[in-house]
Amino acid sequence: MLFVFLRKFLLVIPTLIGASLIAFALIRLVPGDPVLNLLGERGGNPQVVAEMRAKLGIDKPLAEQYWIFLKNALHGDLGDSIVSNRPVAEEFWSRFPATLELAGVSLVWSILLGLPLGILAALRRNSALDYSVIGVSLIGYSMPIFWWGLILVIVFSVQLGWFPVSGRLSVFFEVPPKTGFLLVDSLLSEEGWSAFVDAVKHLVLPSIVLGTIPLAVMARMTRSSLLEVLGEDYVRTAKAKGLSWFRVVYVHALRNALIPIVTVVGLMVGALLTGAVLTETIFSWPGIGRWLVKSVEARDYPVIQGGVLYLAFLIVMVNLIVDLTYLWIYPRMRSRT
Amino acid sequence: MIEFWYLFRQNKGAVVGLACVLVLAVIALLAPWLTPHEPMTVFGDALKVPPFWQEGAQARFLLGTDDLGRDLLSRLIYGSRVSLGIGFFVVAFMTFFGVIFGVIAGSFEGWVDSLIMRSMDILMALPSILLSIVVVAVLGPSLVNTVIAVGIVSLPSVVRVVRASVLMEKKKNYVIASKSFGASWFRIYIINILPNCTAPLLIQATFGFSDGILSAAALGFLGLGVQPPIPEWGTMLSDARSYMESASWLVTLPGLCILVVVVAFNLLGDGLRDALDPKVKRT
Amino acid sequence: MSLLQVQNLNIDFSTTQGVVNVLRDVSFHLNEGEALGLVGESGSGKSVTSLAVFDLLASNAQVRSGQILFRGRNIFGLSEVEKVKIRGSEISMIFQDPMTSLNPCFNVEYQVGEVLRMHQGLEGSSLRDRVIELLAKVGIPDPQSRLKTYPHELSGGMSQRVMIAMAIACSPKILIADEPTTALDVTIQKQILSLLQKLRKETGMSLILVSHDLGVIAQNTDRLLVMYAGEIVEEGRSSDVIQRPLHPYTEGLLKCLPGAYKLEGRQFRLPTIPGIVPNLAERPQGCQLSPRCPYKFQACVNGAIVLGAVGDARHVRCIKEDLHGPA
Repeated sequence: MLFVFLRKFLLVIPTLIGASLIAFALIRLVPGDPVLNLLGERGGNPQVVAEMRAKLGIDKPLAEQYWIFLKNALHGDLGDSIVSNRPVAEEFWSRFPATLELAGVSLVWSILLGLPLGILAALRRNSALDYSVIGVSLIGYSMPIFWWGLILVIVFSVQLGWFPVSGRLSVFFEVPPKTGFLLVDSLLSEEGWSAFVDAVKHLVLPSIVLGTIPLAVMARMTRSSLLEVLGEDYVRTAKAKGLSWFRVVYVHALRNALIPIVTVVGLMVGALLTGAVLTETIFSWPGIGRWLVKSVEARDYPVIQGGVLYLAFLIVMVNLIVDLTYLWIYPRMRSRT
Repeated sequence: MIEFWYLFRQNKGAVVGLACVLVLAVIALLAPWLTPHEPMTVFGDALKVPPFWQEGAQARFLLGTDDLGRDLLSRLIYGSRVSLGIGFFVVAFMTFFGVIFGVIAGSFEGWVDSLIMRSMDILMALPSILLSIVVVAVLGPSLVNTVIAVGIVSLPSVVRVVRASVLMEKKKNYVIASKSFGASWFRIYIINILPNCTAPLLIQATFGFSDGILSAAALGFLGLGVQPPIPEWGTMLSDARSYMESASWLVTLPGLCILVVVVAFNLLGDGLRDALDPKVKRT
Repeated sequence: MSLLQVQNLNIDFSTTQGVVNVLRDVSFHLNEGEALGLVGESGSGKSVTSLAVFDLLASNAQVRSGQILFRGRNIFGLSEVEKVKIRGSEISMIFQDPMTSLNPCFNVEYQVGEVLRMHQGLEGSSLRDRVIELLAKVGIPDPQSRLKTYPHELSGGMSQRVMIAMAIACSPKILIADEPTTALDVTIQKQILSLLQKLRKETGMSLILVSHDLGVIAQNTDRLLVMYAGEIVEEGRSSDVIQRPLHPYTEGLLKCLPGAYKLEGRQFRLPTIPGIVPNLAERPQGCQLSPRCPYKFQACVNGAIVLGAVGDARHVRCIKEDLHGPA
């Protein structure tokens, strides 16, 4: 058990080194001189160019550059943003709660809805409900979410006026940041409840958009996984033991069906961040995704470099947690090395 | 083959998907003959003309015009060329490199295998759109770079599938037999084994189409994909955002096109998987 | 009255090729404390029969007619709650592949204990003691240390013992063993079968042993039924049937037993029954065995052949001896 645990942990290291290499190689791969790209016409002044080079850390040999980059990164120092001149790490962490809040809410509702839908569809196989779940999930995971977001905005914000078009909170509320999560901070603020309601209203459309694909995948996977498990011998055994239908499905079958579902939830974290890039752009949500897209547009290389590294680290860690969850729900994996 | 067709036909969704894909392919091929106008022609006297079901429509612009007075129907039809073209080249890219890396990883095992698979893990560890944004950031936004960016991101799925099939096939007797006759690496892996990986590869390629089209459209939407005035659906959506209130059809219609194409390829992919993959029971 | 009585059971499966009649007019009874064998090739309907007793047939199966009386009550007429009460406590079942029949997510203690919790409401240490006692009873060495093991850590024989422990936990009236040893090694087979015999004698339960192996059935049962293409073709005391098979199919099965070839003189090839089991979607006219039968008469294909009584407690679905008299 401990051995398996350690092994999984060690396997993460090469992936992280690889991600750091990619992040590092980025600036160096840009055709032409990144400094001249950045400075544009102003690049004429040699002193400015030299300063910029030193700042980006590209005035030294490659190996040394990488070493310095890695060492700094391990200390949490990812350099300064060219645009804002603030440390990348600081900028990252100041935006991260917004993305986490959005992604978390989306994931939670997509699981809360997708799991029961998948179970119902599997238990009422070939019924009208089953076909609707199949159809809706097909459309869901084929959905161009950037379009879906715009449609929701047109209908619910522009035409019906139910929800705000963008942002996390209306300007007239003043919520001092404590945790960075507005759902919490708003309750702690002076406006309290009304600020909270406002924050929730801002969350509705973005989280529907971001949760659409996870919901579709969740419902589909749950359905097919449960259907497969229901045909297994041990489910027949459970029935033959005289267990109630409820126990057979929810204890014996679902536990096994959860194994591929947990994998999917793990993979969905990556998909959520992908979706966050698009969703945050549509709703001007002040999170990591929009920040990175803006940085790409502004050619803010330290931000791209640092942001990619942080995100890769987060995703790898989530995958590690998923792997460990496996061990918990699926004893057979414990002995496999 | 007959059995495959029988199983495939059983799946109504797959047949619908195939039909849609064929119709789209025909539309894309015949675009110059189907379009009422040139996609780039600007009608200065007809800005934001609404489509036929809204008031103020004009008969010559069936689906209306955009903010520059270009015929939307013509642009959407030409857009199918761009999207299917991107899909095709993304699939070609990922299949070509995916097969090379997959066969090498599956045949050599050891450190070569580890190196390739670890690299794929890294590619998988990054959110796909972020990775393609980054590739575009390095290469600059354009049609070709969109294909490269999306192709690189889709690579791991093909490499994994090919490697898994190679590992499975190489244990079979026909491979051991041909090895015992002293067949070369090329003969064993490319001539004997690779054709047996066609089925999973075909399934993966179909999903590659839908993923590729979707990712390319997303890049276009972010302004980092195909650049205007080329009529790419994602880019068109992005341009139309400012007219969301005054000309909502400019937003709804291109997105609907993307959705239909992606649904069609996903249906086809599901059908192929059910018909070709004996391990997956028909559920 | 017998403990279990199956009366004119007809079961259909709906398949892609249309509705298939998999059980045709199956009737038999099981007495208290008796060991009954059900023998036939795969597809003969023996597993369907045993699952029907539980009313656990696949969802595409449909009971067209007939009833199964357990202590005089029709199983098909019971509510789901009543059926759940009977399953696992009064009638239990063990299956062909013990490795896949245990849930990989739960340990031995949980799976065996679950039956006791559900049916007898045992909890805590009394539950654990009873589980240990059961594991010891089915011959699992050092049962205390096995409580926390998971199915993948058990061998096939051990898994089947756990299955048996689960099945006998509530002292059932009937234990149905569906090919309990087919997936196991020969030496383990013997152990499992003798364990079943021992438990039956100790508890006085009835046993229905289902197998394709006539040898196994003959050695372990008092009475047997031979099934072919969803019909019972022969019934009788096991010793009688083995000594003097009346149906050509039983005769064929008997000849197929390894070791039996000596009866045929110096024959070194293991005999087989020519032909294959009929496709149930396109049943032959009259006797189902007729396409494969060495004794076939015109009368065999003219009309349905009935299961006729022959002497004491014997039945056969064949007209060979009616036409020719006893061989």
